[in-house]
Amino acid sequence: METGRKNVLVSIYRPQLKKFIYVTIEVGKGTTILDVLKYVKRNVDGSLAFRYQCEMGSCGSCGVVVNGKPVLACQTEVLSLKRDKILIKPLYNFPVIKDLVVDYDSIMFKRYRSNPPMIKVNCEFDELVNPQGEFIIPPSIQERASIYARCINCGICMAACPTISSNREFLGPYILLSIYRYYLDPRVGLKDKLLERAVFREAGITACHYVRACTKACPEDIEVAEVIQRLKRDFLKNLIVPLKQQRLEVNFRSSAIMK
Amino acid sequence: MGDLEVEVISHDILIVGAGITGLRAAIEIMHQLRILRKKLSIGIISKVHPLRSHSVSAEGGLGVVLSIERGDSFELHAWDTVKGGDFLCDQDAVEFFVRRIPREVLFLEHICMPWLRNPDGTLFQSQRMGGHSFPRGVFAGDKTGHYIMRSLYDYLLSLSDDSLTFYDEYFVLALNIENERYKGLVAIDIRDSSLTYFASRALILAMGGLGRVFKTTTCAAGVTGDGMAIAYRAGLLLKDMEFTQWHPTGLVPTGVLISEAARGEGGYLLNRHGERFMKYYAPNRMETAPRDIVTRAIMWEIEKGNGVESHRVKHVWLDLRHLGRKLIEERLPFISKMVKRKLGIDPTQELIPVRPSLHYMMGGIHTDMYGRTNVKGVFAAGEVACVSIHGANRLGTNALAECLVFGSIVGEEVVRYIIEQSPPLLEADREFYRRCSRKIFNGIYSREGGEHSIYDLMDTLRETMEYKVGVFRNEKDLLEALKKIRELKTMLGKVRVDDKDSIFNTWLIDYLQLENMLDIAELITVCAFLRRESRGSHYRVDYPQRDDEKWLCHSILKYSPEGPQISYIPVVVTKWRPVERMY
Repeated sequence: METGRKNVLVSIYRPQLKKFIYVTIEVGKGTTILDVLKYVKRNVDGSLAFRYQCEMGSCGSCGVVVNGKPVLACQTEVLSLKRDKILIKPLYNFPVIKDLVVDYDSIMFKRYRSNPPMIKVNCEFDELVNPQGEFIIPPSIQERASIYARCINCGICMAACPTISSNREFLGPYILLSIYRYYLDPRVGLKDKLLERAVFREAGITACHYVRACTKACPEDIEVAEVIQRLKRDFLKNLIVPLKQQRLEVNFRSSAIMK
Repeated sequence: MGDLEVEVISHDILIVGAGITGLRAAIEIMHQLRILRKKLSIGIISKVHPLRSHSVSAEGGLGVVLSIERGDSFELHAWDTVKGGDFLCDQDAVEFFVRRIPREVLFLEHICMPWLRNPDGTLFQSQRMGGHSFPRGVFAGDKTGHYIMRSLYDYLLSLSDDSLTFYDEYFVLALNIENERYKGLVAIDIRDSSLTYFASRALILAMGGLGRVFKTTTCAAGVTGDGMAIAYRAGLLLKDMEFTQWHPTGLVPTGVLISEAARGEGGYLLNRHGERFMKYYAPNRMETAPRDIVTRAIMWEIEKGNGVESHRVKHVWLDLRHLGRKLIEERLPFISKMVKRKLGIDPTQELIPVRPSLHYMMGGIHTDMYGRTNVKGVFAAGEVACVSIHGANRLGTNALAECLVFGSIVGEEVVRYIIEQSPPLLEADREFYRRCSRKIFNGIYSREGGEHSIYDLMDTLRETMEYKVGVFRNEKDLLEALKKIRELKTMLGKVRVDDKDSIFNTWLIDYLQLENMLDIAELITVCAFLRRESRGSHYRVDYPQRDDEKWLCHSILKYSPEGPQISYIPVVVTKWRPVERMY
């Protein structure tokens, strides 16, 4: 064996069969969990099911649990785990469809679609069909929203969240983060409605216990738990001075090119 | 799993593909319907969840003329595009295209796109991407595609009512087109392998490219040319299939994309001697020459022995060290993090190993500039289509613009088509459905034995395309490739079936994708073999010159049971006669 390479024992759990695939694989620098899964599908059992697409950490398809931690398979190097045994399981908290393929719709995308976070953009319909210019948004404000817009929808925060595992109604970090991203954007209207959505009866921000598992697991290093705390704070502020009375002005500049 | 019951779903409009083009088309349809006070039902079919589409991986920005006062103009953008495309672009379409881009950028601005800003709060326009003679790129970090996708998706959800239905993780098997008349399509639900007949009055294909047909690629696993393959088999014409674009800077070893923005922001390419070798190939534009020129320069350097070998591949270096930490963190954060994670390299201190990686398909389904195909009621847009605005070589930042501009145009056109022509909703074609069903259940699921693994076939195909139909092409290699591809096609009929489960059978999807890849590989190779000149990304070592006398024309492919039939149509030249391309 070349230097820097080593054998690891990989176990992959297949919930629908209540069985494991066991295989010993030689890994080297750069070998990822996704490489291991592809190797197994190709050489050990072609019926193993898992999702993947971009292999560069931008599509969010390949979330799995490795040695108890939800991660992106394509961004997790086997050697960096510093273990001789690797256990791969489907993401926690989601119903499993087959092997490592989970049903994201259940607690994540279906809920997201029925409560889309960009509830109303601050302009008339005509301006959307025939936009005439740009908004004046200071870079610092834009950057603040951009950080939260980095979310790649991988669902790893949802899998890491202990609250969801005991309370299936909890909106969860993914949806609350999305709400906050648009809450920060000066181009979005109806912000008081957005906060109401974040409260979501009692299954929103107030249900979060601030364990910070989401922040620790996020592959984009977004401070999701802190976002939920800020939403709580702003909700309380809103009770004192309603947002409706706060004027949020955003300037607009017409573009000569559209004339 | 029998073929007794036919599951039918009907919509007025079907969109296949939910990347930037598909979502933009859906939005435009909703807008048009609101203006006209009409209601139509729309179905969006995608083999992945929309937010997993490969559009999310687009890193670089969007080329747009926003400021005439600073010296840019539509004419200049069009000229850059035509010259970059080595004069194979249809010039009327290019002018139409560049004039529509500002509207798209400002539309995104209204739906919360996090564009990078100037200190005064206006849009920041800095990137000078390859072949553009003005720094006209607007962008959002180096994840512009990701941010566009999220803005479009969230806005579409905010608009949508019960008229819009998503069919995620449905794989389209075949289009039902008979005598140039569109009737519907059949798709398989990946979740349980059930087949559905989708009937609609009109269809938009927005299914993206084919990068995975090659070994080294920047493209996601699902970029397998499905759209072009199913269109071709159903009788839609394909155009300019020989023009496959290599991105000069794929990260060694697998070819993951290092955005052109890295050079647009001032990065250098160095050979083994630490020399900026682009001075020999494009003395004026250096690293920001168009992609075909930079790609060949890298490959020539490697051939001359000026390359470097590491990670078991030959490559050159990308040098970002002089850009400084602040600029890298602000404008190239994603690739900087990726390089660190994949290779343990800190781009502010160390050189990055890069080599060309297959990135984009200039060719595709033959359409006019309104996305109309040769079949009434079938529209195509985005990478799957060929208008042609990119000619023989696309410029960086013109792809995101293309997806948005032509996505919105087909959306508008499809509504106009339905309102003006009121095409009927045809009944489900049971016989067609049964044929698809037989193929899956009798042809594949019930197959016994079999020697080969589809993954071995896939590797052989991708290597064949890379080494024989790659950056440098010649007659002998192309003929060998064609022979190999046809051999692989016959082998596909004898592969071992590794999974017969009906629940989330990813082996079956890989098989169907491979089938599409094989068809597309053959078409690329045939067109490359027949075009005896070098133009843009298509470089024939045995015919190294561009030949405008004979070859200022588009290749058109038509399906026949005996093999592809090829013909040629002239390029539309309005303003610019072909001249020598100097950079």
